[in-house]
Amino acid sequence: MAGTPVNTARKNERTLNFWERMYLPEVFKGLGYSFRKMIREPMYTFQYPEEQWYPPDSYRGRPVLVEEEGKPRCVSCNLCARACPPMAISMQSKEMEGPKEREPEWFEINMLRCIYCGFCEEVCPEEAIVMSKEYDLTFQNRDEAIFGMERLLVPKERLADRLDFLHTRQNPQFGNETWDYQRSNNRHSLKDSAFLAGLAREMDSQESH
Amino acid sequence: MGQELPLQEGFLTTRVDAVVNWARSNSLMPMPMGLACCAIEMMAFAAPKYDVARFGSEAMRFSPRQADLMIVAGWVSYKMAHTIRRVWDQMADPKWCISMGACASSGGMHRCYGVVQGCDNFLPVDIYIPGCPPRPEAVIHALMDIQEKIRNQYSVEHDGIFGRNMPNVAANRPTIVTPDGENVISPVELYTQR
Repeated sequence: MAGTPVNTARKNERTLNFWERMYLPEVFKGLGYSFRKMIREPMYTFQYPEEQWYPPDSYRGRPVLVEEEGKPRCVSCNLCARACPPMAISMQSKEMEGPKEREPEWFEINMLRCIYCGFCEEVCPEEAIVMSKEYDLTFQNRDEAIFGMERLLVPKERLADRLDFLHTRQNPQFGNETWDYQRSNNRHSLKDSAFLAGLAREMDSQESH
Repeated sequence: MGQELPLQEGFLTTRVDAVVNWARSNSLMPMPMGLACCAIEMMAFAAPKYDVARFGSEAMRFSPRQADLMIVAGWVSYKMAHTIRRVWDQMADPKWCISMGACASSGGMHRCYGVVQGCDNFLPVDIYIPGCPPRPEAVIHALMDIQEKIRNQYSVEHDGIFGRNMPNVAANRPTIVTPDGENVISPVELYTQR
């Protein structure tokens, strides 16, 4: 008949003694074991707001622009915007005097689109955009997640860890024969200013004839 | 506003508010709307290492009736959007929403026909977390932001006027300017025009 209790005791089963049959002492014994563990074992939990995890150099946090002598190192070539899988990066170029020739007029990363993949850093020929160690961001609305230049620029001294890491670990993977990043190569100009000045002088002299 | 509110901001209401807000902010019960890989990181947020029981919201409720914080974790497809909205509507009223990760917040790298570009298209999101996926620290940070938000609201006054006398704020819709740049037409007109 359903509901009838069946005696499932095995042959050699130990019978409970008096205190075990009282039930409560065993409960307190178990609780005592738990509390002893709580007090004696070292704490496993990470006390987040008080202690913060410091990432290694290889960590990919939010992307930042390298600031050098008060200016971005970026030459606004749009390679990062092209490589970005979620299309989080957008920029507007402007022309400059001097060997650098181009600079971003504005540069925006939509941090809600960014997936921290590091493709922008990998593709950048100038080491101008690198991944920082910041990982703890929250936003109240979508507008405040669009980071402009003022929030992206970080002085290169503060990014020394990551830049060193790139020099030692990341760049050689392409092989030094095909492309070797060197700081001295970084100042390049397609315009030959001496040639252009000579051309202008020649044109002036032709007009005066 | 010039509107007569049934409960003004007085000593009694603010003190009751303080108690109610304290209770609400320290007993948030998340509804884990885990849709993709962010859900794994959300488990880590509840697990012993980043023990969210320290903030009183370790009780993940899989029933919307018992939850008051929805964590949308993962990319939202158009098919799933209806279900999420339905679950959100079933949650009891003082409720908050965290959009966790790039995909839930803005579509992320899934710029395709099947994915909603941000779950704020159909949910009132309070806090957005960037990252793919975000670290559990960032999720805890978002939870702390929500707690801060709860502590700074007028619960009693809000509950007193809720559903009856709420000030009618016009929805902020984008306006469309005609090519001559003079007339502004509303999107409603645009879609009803032949």
